[in-house]
Amino acid sequence: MRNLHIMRYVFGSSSSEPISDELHDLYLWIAQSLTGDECELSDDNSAMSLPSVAQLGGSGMNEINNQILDYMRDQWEKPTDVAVVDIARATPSETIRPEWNIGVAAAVAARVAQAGVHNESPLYIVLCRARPTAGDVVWSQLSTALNSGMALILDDAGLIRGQDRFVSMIDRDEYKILLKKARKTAIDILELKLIRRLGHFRVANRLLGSYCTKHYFDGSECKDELAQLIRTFISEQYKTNEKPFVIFCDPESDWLRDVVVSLQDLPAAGSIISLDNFLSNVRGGLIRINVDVQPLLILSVVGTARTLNAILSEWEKEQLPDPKILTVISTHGDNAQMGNWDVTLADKEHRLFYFLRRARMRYQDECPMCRLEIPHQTTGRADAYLSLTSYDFWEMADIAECYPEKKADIPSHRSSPMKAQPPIRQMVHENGPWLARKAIDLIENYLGEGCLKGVPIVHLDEMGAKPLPLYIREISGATLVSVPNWVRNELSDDGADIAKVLERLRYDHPHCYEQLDSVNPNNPVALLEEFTFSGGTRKALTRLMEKLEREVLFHLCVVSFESLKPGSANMKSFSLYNFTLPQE
Amino acid sequence: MTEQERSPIALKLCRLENGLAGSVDEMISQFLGSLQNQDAAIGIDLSQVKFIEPASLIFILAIVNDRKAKNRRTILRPPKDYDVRNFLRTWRFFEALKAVTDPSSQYTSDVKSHDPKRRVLSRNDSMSQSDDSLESIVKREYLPIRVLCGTTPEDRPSNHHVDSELRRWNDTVIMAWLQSHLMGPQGIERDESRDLAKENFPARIVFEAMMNCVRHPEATRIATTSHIYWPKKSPEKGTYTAIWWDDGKGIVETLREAIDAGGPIISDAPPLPEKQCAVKMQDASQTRDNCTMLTTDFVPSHDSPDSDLLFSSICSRVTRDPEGKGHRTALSEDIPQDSPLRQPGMGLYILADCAINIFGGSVAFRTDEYFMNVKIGLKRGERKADYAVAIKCIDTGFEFPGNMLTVRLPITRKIAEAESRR
Repeated sequence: MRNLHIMRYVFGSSSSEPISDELHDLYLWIAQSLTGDECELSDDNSAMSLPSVAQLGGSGMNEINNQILDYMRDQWEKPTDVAVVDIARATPSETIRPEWNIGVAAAVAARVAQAGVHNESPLYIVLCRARPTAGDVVWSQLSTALNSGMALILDDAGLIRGQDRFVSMIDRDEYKILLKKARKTAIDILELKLIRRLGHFRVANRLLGSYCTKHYFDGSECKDELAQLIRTFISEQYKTNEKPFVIFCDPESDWLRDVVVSLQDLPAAGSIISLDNFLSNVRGGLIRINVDVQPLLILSVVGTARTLNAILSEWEKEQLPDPKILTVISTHGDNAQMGNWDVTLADKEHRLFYFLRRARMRYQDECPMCRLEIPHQTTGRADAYLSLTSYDFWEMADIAECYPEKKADIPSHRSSPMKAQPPIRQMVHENGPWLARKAIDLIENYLGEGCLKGVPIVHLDEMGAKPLPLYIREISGATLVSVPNWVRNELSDDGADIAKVLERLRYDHPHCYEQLDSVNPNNPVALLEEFTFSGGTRKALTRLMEKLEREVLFHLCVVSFESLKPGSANMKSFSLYNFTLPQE
Repeated sequence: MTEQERSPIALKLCRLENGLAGSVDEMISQFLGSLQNQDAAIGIDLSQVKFIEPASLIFILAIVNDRKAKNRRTILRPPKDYDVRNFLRTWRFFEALKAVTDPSSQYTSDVKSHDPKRRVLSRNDSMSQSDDSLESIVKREYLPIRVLCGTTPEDRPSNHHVDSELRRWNDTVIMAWLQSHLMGPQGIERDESRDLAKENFPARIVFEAMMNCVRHPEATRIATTSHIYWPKKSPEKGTYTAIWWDDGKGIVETLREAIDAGGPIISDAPPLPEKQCAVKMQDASQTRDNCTMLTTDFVPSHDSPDSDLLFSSICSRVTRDPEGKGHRTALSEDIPQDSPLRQPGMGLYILADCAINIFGGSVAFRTDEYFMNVKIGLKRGERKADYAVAIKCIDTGFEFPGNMLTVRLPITRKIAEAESRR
């Protein structure tokens, strides 16, 4: 039985985060495969990742080297038989830089050299996204250890840099399955990042004339995930030698075009072409279609399917073979994710494949926003307004009824429940990616672009549907620190015993305590909540941060019912929508 | 051109015969070096140019920017050839000129908008909006000139610009093109070569090139462009060129000042592998090549000639700021004192290694009166080395303003496949 240590280092992450069970399983499998022996996760392993010092001072090399060596010396009490050093991940806002890898290589090399002095022969397994080339200067510090067989580098594809004997010890197919299980899948990320913008959009449709929509779908934040999903779809639906025509239709924007053209080197895909060019080339006799292979028609959104019906009517006229139809978003279908919608189009039964099912409101006539003379907005990435408009807010609120606050939810700093509160949780659930994008844009507008990078977001542990912080993390790369709800009640009074709260956190919620403790004291933090009534949560969390000597950069809430007097909050406080409740 | 510019005035005119980068550099350097009154208005005449490289456009941009900063007038005569004018438009050269001269001026409006020969782009035009091939989109949207900062006095080079360039180069479209065409080391499988492109191009080429620009003292502007070239003779193998230019103090002058100040110029970074370099020095007076063998562990001294100082910029530990304390006057105030931008690094060593050893390409530097090219060395013979370095002194009395870094990488494609997708 060998003793396994693990170290997960996430570049750009500003506080430690819990390591999932799936990752632990993966590390154990890797260690056992590469030692050919039973391994046991060491009790003295931390269940948390190591926050990155790389985003702070210095070029990072020496700091990372020292940080890793200190961590291994202080945290790993038992002797190391085998260690998995996972540096394959960075936050979405960070690019792993060569100098940082030099720091990691130097630290692992130092550990191996030290083990050699004591006649020990551990195995250090470094997990990277792509293995370095033989002789890569960035990993040169590790070359002696790689040659000795006491270290190796394993990448996401299961390729190894190190002694040849390790190559046959990894079953690459099984490794990829475990790796996939341990990470968020592309569809999960799509769910968190595909934005449904609210606004007033005028769509000029060549086939159906113009109409208004309430929603515009923006996939520009998740193009990589979409490309991955479409690659998988093509490889599952077509044989490699079929090479279907891949035809895309996205008249409202360019994000689907970007995704589809990026599939150019996919062996299973044939010619890639926009719908307009395809139809005009067919009419002009410029392209020939293999009638035995269904072309693949990819659309961004299918709502009423009237546009698709018109497309397929044109298709019929040209006597083209029936296409397979894939849409990123469908408004109908059997599943919330990865579903089908069987529909009759141009007098034929068709099956639509889709990735996400989302509602879309569209008005052919009698658009209520036109009646109110709300100006049209442009589609694309930029939102016309920093905050939520009243129309958008109340329409979002209209998806579920306002409800009286439950007694159990009343924070101790308020005596009476709110008689009616908007269904914020459902609003976030339906519009999370858009609200997250708006929140980030709002903050960056005031504090500068990139200001969220490396800033941990401290928020209360909300229950139920996906809360806003999850969306913000996926888009901005912020690290989340979730604080249990009772902290708010304990700290709402001016005379609260903060030391006692910290002590309780340390014993009852060690992960939370460790995360808070791991935030670099030179790093500011941000506070986030979904709505504020009297500022109690802000005050409580601010007290906690003050005690921990962490600066609060800003406070953000989706909707504020607070009537803030000028100068009443001594920090930058932002809300996407402000609504002063009538006095009772 | 404005009305004032149309008026007949006595201009010293530099007539460019062609638009090749080396030729443009040579002609403009000789012209400006021989100019007796540098304050005189000059004209750069592109009227006869039938083809122009993006590197030439950046060179001219650097000259116009420098002269504008010194209140010296520069007038450009546009190419007579419509296709070249069209290329300047699509490559956003006029917008870039406007950005470095005066964003509010109408400097080139008539050339830009009222070209008498302007016509609707044909379907066969490689830059046609209706062409939805990956390469056309990349050419249209990712490669044309971008002036990244300096359009307002507050917009100084900062880590924000480095980050946004990293984001841009990681975008799905450009990354798909790079992954499809960049070549990894010989013998490597296609999938792994794709991973290497994704892992290394942004992090080791874009990041280090941008850091190099940002860290140059007194830099206020950064401009970048790239281009793709497939030769007609062997259309399966081409060249991808990426260029970064900043208007900061030149590398040689910067390092000279650090050495003259007497402080250390070696950082305490971990040692990196030593590369043997065959350094060939050329200048106008020398008819024979003068080749010396140096290594990337070379440390220049007080007595080192300027060419050695330029060479040392690709060495692994030489920096003008080993403790990372400097650059405070050069970098904008809002960059924290502990920012990586203020720290020493081995950036150009890593960049050169990546361009040469991972992607099989070369790196060139143009600064002051020097041009340096670094490529893979000879495998055998007296000049056997890891890198072959050629340094040329363009001894005309003209000093190129700022620093221009050019990375050239070989690219490959399958013609049959490319044609079948059309």
